[in-house]
Amino acid sequence: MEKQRKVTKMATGIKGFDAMLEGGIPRGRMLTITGSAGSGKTVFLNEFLYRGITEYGENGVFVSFEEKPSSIIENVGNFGWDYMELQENESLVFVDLSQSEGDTEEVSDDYDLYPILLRIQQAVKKAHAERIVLDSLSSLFTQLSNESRVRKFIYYLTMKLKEMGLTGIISSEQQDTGNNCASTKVEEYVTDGVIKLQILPGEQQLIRKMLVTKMRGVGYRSGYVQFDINEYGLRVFPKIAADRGTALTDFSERKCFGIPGLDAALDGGIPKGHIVLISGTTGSGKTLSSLKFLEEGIRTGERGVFVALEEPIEQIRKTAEAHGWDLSRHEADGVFHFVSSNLIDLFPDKLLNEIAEIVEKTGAQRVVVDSISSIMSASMESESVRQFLLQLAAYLKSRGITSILSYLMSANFGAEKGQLLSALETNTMRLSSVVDGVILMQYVEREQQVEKLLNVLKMRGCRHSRDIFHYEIVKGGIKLGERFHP
Amino acid sequence: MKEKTKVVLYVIGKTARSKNSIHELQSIMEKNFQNDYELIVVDLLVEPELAEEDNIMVTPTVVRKAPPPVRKIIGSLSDERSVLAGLELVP
Repeated sequence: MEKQRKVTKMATGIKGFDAMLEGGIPRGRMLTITGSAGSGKTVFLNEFLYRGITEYGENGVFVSFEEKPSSIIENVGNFGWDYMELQENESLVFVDLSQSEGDTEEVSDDYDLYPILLRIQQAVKKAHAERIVLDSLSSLFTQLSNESRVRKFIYYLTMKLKEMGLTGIISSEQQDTGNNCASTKVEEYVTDGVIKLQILPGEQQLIRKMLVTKMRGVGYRSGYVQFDINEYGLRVFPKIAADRGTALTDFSERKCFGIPGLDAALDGGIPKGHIVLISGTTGSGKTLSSLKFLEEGIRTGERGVFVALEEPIEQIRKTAEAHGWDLSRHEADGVFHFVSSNLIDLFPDKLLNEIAEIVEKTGAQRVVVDSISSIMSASMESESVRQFLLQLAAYLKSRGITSILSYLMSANFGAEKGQLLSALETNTMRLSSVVDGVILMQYVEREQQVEKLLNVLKMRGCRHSRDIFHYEIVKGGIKLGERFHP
Repeated sequence: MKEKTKVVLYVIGKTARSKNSIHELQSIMEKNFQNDYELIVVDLLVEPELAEEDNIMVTPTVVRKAPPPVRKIIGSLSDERSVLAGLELVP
């Protein structure tokens, strides 16, 4: 019996992709990448080769059935990658199988594709290659009419490439019509994994998604992940890892606002690791309280991250300044960081990755997301908002980070006695299941006056106050006053 | 003066199939151009590096080198008419 070999992984070097596959792709195997035209297949192949050569010293061969090498070289030049140099030192070798339009005629469909293997073998030898890409099978099928020959050859070729110890990716264009095209069949049989790329129109930009449908011998997180192609290349935004059970709420350690009445109402502050929703009407002081929470953290030596989705960063700086908090200085000191995002085409995975990245980099202990409502209005379906929150919550919790999510609820003017809570939006109630605590800040109209009221609706594991308090916005934050007597 | 017709035939190995291709092309050329042609046979197993130059994907491939422009045909050479038509050769 053949000895069972353990699959070792090869880090591709493609940002975010290896994390998604918990280390990389199976070494010595052939994968297929599929997607419609313009979905980023060729960029992915180039990333695989370029990262291999420049980051891991693993040389590569590019087999092109489609584009001329000169045009490939020009295209990757836009990422600042110098393929000319790699070609000169033979760390990258092209096999140019692109055909000029109309210079070849098939007089019969009886032929042998062996020369292709021969040419690939020479290139692999020349480059001492460990990585190989073929772009694309669909073009090969277009060039040669004998589908069964081509199919058999591809099968034979991938076997040979594996025998040669190569790790590779073969691209195949996904046809919009006819799901049983020849190339589709091949990728299902021949390869050890399939990466599917999707491209969807967003409001302002294209939204790119990736799905790994099978990857023999490699653990990975399934489901769609988003990716992006920018001037530096391709980047995948994997679902962020929330290592379960690493850190849980620590009730003995409380995180204060530095607002005496509020900290007291919270039974000494928010327990470390809790995720708290501050739900309030517009202008009720949610952002202000959140900033105060971070400011108090910085005062006690804890770094903070403010995820600004509602207002422009400049506006928040000004708000803080009006209360005597110099955020620019905190940023310069490296104790405070902003994360912001384009709300029109919000990439939840990208945002999560950015938050995670800055948290890991700075060791932040307090995080504010202002606000959850803006994520909801950013054309995301409610299920993906819930998914986003669950992931964010799981991540922050796993790192023992105490966080505040602000939520804008609609005004509750004229609430009668006993209606303050019953008039709560269903959204707040639904979000409540994801978070550990809820603080409500709202207005009520009382005898020709608008009164600001705050109460701690829920705080898991705490003997928090059940009272409703008056509060005022003052310089330096908010100030809790008397108990409310309706 | 008319340029001498020059064709290159690419085969792989000394197989019956290769021999057959050589024989078929030789007869076609002989019949149509008598001695006024040049036929070069390349065995890619012997000279694999030559596959790059004419961008050979399959065997048999015949490349018409002269007169220009370059024409290429692929597939078995049993049908004389399609070989001549494919190479755009007029006897």
